[in-house]
Amino acid sequence: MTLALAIEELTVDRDGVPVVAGFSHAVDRPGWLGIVGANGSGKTTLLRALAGRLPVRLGRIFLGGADVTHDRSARAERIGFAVESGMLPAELTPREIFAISARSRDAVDQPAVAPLRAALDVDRFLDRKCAILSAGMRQRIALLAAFLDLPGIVILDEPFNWLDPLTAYDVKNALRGLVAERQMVLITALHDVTTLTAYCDSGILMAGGRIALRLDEGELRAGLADSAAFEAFIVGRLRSSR
Amino acid sequence: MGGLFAYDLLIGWKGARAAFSRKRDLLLLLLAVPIFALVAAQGAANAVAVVRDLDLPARMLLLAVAGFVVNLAAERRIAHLAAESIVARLALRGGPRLVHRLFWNLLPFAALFSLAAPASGSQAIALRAAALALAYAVGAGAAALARRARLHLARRSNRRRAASGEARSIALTGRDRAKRIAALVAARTGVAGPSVAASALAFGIVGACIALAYRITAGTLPRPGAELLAAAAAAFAFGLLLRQHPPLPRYLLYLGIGPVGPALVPAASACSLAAGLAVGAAALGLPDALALAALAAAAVLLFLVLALLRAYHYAIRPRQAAELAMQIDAVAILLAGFVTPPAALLLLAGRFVMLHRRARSLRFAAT
Repeated sequence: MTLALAIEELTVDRDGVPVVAGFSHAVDRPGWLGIVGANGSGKTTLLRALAGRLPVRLGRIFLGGADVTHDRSARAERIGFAVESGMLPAELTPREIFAISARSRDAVDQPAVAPLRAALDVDRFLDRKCAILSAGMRQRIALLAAFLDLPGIVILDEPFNWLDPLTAYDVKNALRGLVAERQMVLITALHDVTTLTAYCDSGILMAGGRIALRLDEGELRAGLADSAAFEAFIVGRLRSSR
Repeated sequence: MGGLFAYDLLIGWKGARAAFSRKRDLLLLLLAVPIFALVAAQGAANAVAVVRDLDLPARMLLLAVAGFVVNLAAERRIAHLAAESIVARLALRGGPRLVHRLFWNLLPFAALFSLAAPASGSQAIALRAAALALAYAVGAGAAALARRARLHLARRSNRRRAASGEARSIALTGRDRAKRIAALVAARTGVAGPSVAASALAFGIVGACIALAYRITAGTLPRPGAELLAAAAAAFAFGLLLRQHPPLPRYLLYLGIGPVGPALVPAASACSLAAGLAVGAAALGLPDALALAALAAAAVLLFLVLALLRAYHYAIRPRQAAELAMQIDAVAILLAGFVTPPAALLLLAGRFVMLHRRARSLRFAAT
């Protein structure tokens, strides 16, 4: 079976300093992969490199069996990625941003993204400039824009930051629905252990740019049964991996 | 294919519209544009005459510098779009990048080439035109190389610093906040001593040393060797003082502190540098000491303008966007200054008013 995404001994530098070092992982089926780790553990750098936003120094990345390690453009074309909400152009409106982000001008109106669009509730500020939108509103725009081309893999870096509890809940469920319906791979960096156990199909604990622990679906669901104990376990692993 | 450039144009257009969204702004624009156009037209005619009087090497130098500046800005912009924007997918592809570069270069190259190319003459016209185009291309290539070299050096220095675990701590011991901020800004210029006063003293000595070096080399080097050496040394020293820590003005604005005060912290050192130059020249009995003092004073003025421009842009925009906007501003003001100096002053004043208004509206705001 061709792996959707395979990462072999990946090393990524930020300003010449290795932040991800010797990271290996394979994703062979659709699902939601949650990555948890302390600040500075390399989550964002890893996700940005996978999405083509950063070059790779060592190791290899395969997408659908093809080696795309040194082809940042191929990674950016085939992987949806939510830009940092603060980087959205302040002068443009969400409607303009959606029209520019997607290959099709009307991508935001396609039925496939309707549940996510509804959960994000972006319609009420579609024609307001980003400059006057709150951080949460900008986060919603960035999230929806990542899905407009319906890519097979979408990467979101801490997607629930800034979102209110109601929206975060609706978005988590909409994302679960998209993953199941479109048989896609969703990779998110998370700081919330409950989201990891309740919504993700597999998990990774990152420390020092490497994988400190892999978690399968069974372990995550077991963690959900006793959230407090699981959180204590994760925190313990984070402390010991420092 | 012109997607990236269309994106830039859209942002520029929307930004300009937002800047003149109020009725009084529009009125000001309607009044200012015809006056500016009249002055600029007259100045442009003079500039054409000046450029036409230049010999071929000087024209080639002009085009090479233009190619360097334009492409340095284009390189930065493309790198930003590829890493941080909603059009990263396009910015990572060779075709759109090339088209974007062509669009960036088209207008400045066409304008400068038509200005600098020989209007009439012998069969050597084609050769001279090719030499001008080549000079522009060399400038463009040098910009790409300069960017690569800068990134390479920054990575190497970061790697070395990370390997040695070196971290510089700054003693912020001033009693009031303004003094602590001044110490922080001074330290972030990377050349400050234990205090702002010590830095000013050091730069005064540097200025005097440059004057002394000029006195020594003026007798030994053929003209204009000594002048060029002294100018390069002084420009380097002023350049060191122009360094700013990009996130700092933005963070200070978030705390409610405008960019003017922090930007002017290195001004004491700049004035001291200029004074060192002028006093040194007078003490050494240099024949052109007065001209040197006038030049040093002009350099301080230019320093103040650039320092304020940088601080305002860093305060109101993310780093990449700020650097691009700064380059566009600097080129526009320099061009206006070349074409018609009064228009440059008007442009500069207007720009500072706009930047100040924007910064004031963003005080205490997380942008």
